[in-house]
Amino acid sequence: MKTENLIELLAQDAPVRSSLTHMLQQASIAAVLMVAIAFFSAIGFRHDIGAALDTGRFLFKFVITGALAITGSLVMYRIGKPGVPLRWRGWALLVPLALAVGAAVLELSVMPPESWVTRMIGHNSRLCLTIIPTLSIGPLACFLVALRNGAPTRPALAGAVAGLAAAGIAATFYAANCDDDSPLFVLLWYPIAISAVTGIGALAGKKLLRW
Amino acid sequence: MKNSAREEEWASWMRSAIAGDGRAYHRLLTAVTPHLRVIARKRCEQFGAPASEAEDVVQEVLLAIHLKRGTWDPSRPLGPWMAALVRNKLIDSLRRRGRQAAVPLEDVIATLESDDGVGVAERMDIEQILSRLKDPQRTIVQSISIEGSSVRETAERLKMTEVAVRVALHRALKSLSALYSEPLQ
Repeated sequence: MKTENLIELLAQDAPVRSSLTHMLQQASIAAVLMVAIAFFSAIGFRHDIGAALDTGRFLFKFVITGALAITGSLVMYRIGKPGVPLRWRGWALLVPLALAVGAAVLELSVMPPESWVTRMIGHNSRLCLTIIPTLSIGPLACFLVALRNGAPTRPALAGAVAGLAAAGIAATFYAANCDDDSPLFVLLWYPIAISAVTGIGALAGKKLLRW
Repeated sequence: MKNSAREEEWASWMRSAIAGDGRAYHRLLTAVTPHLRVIARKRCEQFGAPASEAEDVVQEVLLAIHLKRGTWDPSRPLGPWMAALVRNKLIDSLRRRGRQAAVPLEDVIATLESDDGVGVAERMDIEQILSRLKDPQRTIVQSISIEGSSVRETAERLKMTEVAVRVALHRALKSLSALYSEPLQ
């Protein structure tokens, strides 16, 4: 085909129906709705939610998971756009980890050593490792569909970031069900579940986000 | 793309294009193409891809610009976006072609001796492309690219709505991009 003929074709398809940013916004709304519906219909709040709301440990879990959802999304909104540098946003992904480590250090300093292991192992680890990845499936799918309209330089990395954002949303909801509130538990188990989702995102991204 | 006046002009064309101005978009793509051609010809050699494929590379990059223009944020400068997108697609395309660059020596000699040189010999000739598309995409591509009809004329002829023709054209361009990305035979 002659290049002029191709340009002729492209010019007839000039208008852009929806930008990548717009699609990611829609995906984010859909992701939160999906997790919320799944959470409230199948999982629900822990039974002592009223009392839990008065404790700093319970509330701080949301600071950590919320930070992951936000920083993951910030990077995700940029990673599919050529020529848009991430700058501090890449480093911001370390904020949730730093928050968790900080809280864990504080916990170690105020709690007696004999209680450390009990607090770290908790009794919900199996639920944590299954519910977070399960709740992440819907959001991850939404984000990957939206990112297929993007042009990421590194598709696997973009998929991994989508996985982080999805896991951040899922973990935020799950934290309202889990009654293991010790930062030691959060620092041990949550990252395992989140890494699994990130890995799945990377594998899927490698296949689906090539362009 | 270092020339800021030109970049500003291109950006304004792209903004009009996104809003639906096909003529501005035509001007933009026509202005960009010679630059792409220079880079593609230079880089083909570097990646060990046959120079005869430079024009295919140009077309692949044009299709990428087209299909990914929704990733450009109109409030940002166009230059960095286009440079990054073109570089990524160019490398992708050339690597794919370069890897398969087991070009027989006789072919190289034949190319060197022929008068055509780096002509506009396209591997993807229009017949080949059309044969790979399904209807109505095929008829629409043929009508617009070869016969030079507009979307409206094509819609009238095919007794389709303009919207349906636009949707089919967009799909056809996606298929086209996929055809270009297929491994070479």
